[in-house]
Amino acid sequence: MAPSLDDEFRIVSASGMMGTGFLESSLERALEFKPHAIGCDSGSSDPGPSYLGSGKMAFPAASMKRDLRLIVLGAQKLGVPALIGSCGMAGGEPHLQEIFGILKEIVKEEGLKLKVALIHAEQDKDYLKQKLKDGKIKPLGNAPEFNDAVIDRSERIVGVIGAEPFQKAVEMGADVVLAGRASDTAIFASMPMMNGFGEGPSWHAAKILECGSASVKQRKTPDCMFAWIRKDHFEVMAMDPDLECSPQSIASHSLYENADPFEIVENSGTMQIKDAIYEAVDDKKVRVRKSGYKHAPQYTVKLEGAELAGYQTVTFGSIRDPYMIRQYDDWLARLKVKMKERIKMVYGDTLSEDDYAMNYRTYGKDGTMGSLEPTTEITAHELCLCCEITANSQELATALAGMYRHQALHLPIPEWQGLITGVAFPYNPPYLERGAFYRFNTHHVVETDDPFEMFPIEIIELGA
Amino acid sequence: MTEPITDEIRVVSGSSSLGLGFHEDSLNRALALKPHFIGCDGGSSDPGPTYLGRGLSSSPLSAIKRDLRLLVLGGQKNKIPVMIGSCGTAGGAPHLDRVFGALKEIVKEEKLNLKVALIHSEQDKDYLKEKYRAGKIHELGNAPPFNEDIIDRSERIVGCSGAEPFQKALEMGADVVLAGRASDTAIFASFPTLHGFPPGPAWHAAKILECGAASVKQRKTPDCMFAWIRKDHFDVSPLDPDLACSPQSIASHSLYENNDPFEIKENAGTINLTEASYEAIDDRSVRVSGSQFIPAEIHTVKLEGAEFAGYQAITPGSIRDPYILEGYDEWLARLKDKIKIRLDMIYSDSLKEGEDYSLNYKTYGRDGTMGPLEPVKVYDTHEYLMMFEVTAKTQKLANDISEIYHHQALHLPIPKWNGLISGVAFPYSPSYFERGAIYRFNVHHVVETPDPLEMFPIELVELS
Repeated sequence: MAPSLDDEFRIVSASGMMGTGFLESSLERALEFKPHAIGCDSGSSDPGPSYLGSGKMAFPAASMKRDLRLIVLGAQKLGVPALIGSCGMAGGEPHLQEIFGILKEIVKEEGLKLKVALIHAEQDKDYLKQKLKDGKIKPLGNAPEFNDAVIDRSERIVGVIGAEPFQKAVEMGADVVLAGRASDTAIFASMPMMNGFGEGPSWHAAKILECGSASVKQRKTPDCMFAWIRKDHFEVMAMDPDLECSPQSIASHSLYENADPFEIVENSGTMQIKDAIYEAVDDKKVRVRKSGYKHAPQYTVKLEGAELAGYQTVTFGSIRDPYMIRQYDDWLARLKVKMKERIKMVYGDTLSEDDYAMNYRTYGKDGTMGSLEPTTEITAHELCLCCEITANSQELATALAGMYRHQALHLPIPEWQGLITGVAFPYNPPYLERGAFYRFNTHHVVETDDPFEMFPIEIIELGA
Repeated sequence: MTEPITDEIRVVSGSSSLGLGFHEDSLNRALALKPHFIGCDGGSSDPGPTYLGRGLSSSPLSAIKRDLRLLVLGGQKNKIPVMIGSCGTAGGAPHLDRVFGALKEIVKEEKLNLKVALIHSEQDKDYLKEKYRAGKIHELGNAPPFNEDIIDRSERIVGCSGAEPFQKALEMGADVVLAGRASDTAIFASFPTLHGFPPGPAWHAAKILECGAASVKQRKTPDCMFAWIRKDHFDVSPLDPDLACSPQSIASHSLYENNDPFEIKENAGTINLTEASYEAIDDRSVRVSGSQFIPAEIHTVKLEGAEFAGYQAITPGSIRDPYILEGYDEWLARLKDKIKIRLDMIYSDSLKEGEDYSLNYKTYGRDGTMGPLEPVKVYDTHEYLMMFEVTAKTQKLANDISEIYHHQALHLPIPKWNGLISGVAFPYSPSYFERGAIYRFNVHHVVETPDPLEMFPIELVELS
């Protein structure tokens, strides 16, 4: 029997991301608080465009299955829905199907009977072209060019699901909702709102919950977070007794992943948390009041697309010779010239500089921050040079990497005579092939008056 | 053989390794000096066991073909033989085949008529077992264990051809000799000793020649080297006018790749340089006299084998936060613990570290290059690069563990920061590279064989 909805909506977020784990003891404790739903985000665009482009999941299926099994069993024990958003990282069709496949295994292994809602987020290219033609696709700040050709060459474009399809899926009686790419917050805001709780506290609580226990004072590992959402405020607490929330830790979480900590844009409007007040309930629990939510005049759905950007081969090699490090900039400049000469020698005019790109990145100097690095003097006794070659084919990128290895390995310096071996390549072959890699190619929203039209919901009954 | 050569043998070495390049001008200058043959080494075990195991070449085929074309055309122009040793890096059957394929294309493109000798170096496993059972395989210093199991599980074992198969190929009338794995020096010593020149100067000159222009005073790029081998001495000189040899540069080359600079072992004996003296002829050429060759009592052939060592995935990630760098040892120790706990959580007892997988953490900016041999103990740099290396029974397991590592490392908390931190910068998406199957060298042994030809079948092919 599901817990009754008295004057609050209780919800637990299992982890910051499904597949990164949580303590079983934390989920068990959460279940004792009788949540009305269990939610978990399962994706992000943070790990980059390759997942969206290749259709691969970021975390091992075994880790996904472990987390999903515990979430589903917990929800079944209480008779409450389990909501999973952005399935399999990028939330495209292959990602959603892979998570659905894992769920089917769990259902079989545990002898469950479930009504599952699949919310599809991968977009039909003709639909997008029509929207574009109708002038309903609008660029966000610093958006790249978008047109029919971009749509065509995209490996995959997903829309970001808002709260409404989750609400619909729950209304349709789903025990488990598996959604494609979705707003992280929509997973958690959907159910309290449909039960009449305020949009302000619902969305703000959701924003805290979507990262699991990430907003505690001192984090250990990904873990469960619990919220009590009431008419005019919400309270949050981590489920691991070792973890603590403070007004500062909760307030500062608005700075995480947001361009503006006070106004956070969702499909249907904007969270307004400038006036929010954070108070300690005790040394573990925080109460948040005065969170607002302002509806947008136009409902929008953000798009995420990825296209093939080429093939890359990367070579790491370290430099430990103090003489080389002392003249590193000059050494690297000479290496670049040698590489150009060598490529010319082998390929003559059959290869132009437009056919490939070479990028050199030096760790111990400015490998992480590039031109933003404020430190100008190299103090390290050891550098690691990473040479990235991008080409239209893996074969060419790797062929050039083979030449690079030899040119770098024996590049002479004035202090040493004879044949020197100046770079230590840790692997053989020295290069690592990245294969096809992708770039994000949209930063746009679709204007749509129907929050459901881009996200078909499929209901499937699983189990005996 | 046409007519006996009595005064001197002139020889040019094309480059230090076929595919690493040389100046066309240098080769043309060499051809004007009327060499009796052109030689070029084509391989090494230096780039590691993966080339032998996987059948790969370390230089791109396009670069190998460029060098081979110029050498073969030069040989044809002067009507002299061209001999290539250790074809395609590791000199196994696929390597020899690859270079032979390039030669066939060249013959077609240039409309040549060639008699080609292929010297095969890849060893038959039954032959080796027979030799092993007969007690004719002996270990060298620090050799790993060797037995029939090791022969069976080797991906490939090659023998190092001596001078005799090259001599035989010349006697058979070959215009071009392509040899599998061969002693680098044998390529160059074969011809003069076949013509009755004393082995001392012939082998020592060969030792200099096999690295191309590597033994000049100040090297620029791989290039040609010329030698005049006479009865009691030899002269060497580089072909690029910018390069110069000095007595010191030539003498010091004996320190390169040898553990003893005075006694260098070959199949048929030992080059003895104890009495060698080096004099400048002019400011670019050196004369060497007093070199000796002491024949061995038993002819031996060195073996090189590679066996499969697992699948690897590599994750590079940089650390730029001064607080993490300050407490790095402790940070890394906690990370290792977290990974262990997380792997236990997902795989429980189904996987064992050391059996199913092994993990290695390598930090550039500390001791990434030298490991425990690193003498610097105080690390003064603002940036590290950490390489996480997983070796596992399957590529999928190595990849999965890399994904788990990524997330644990990315957000590992430190006491100085509250909340969710992102402490490691992973430059790629996905953050790991698949290395695929990796190999290890598994023999350090010689085969005793009175017949220097029996392990190296020679195949004569007419190309036109």
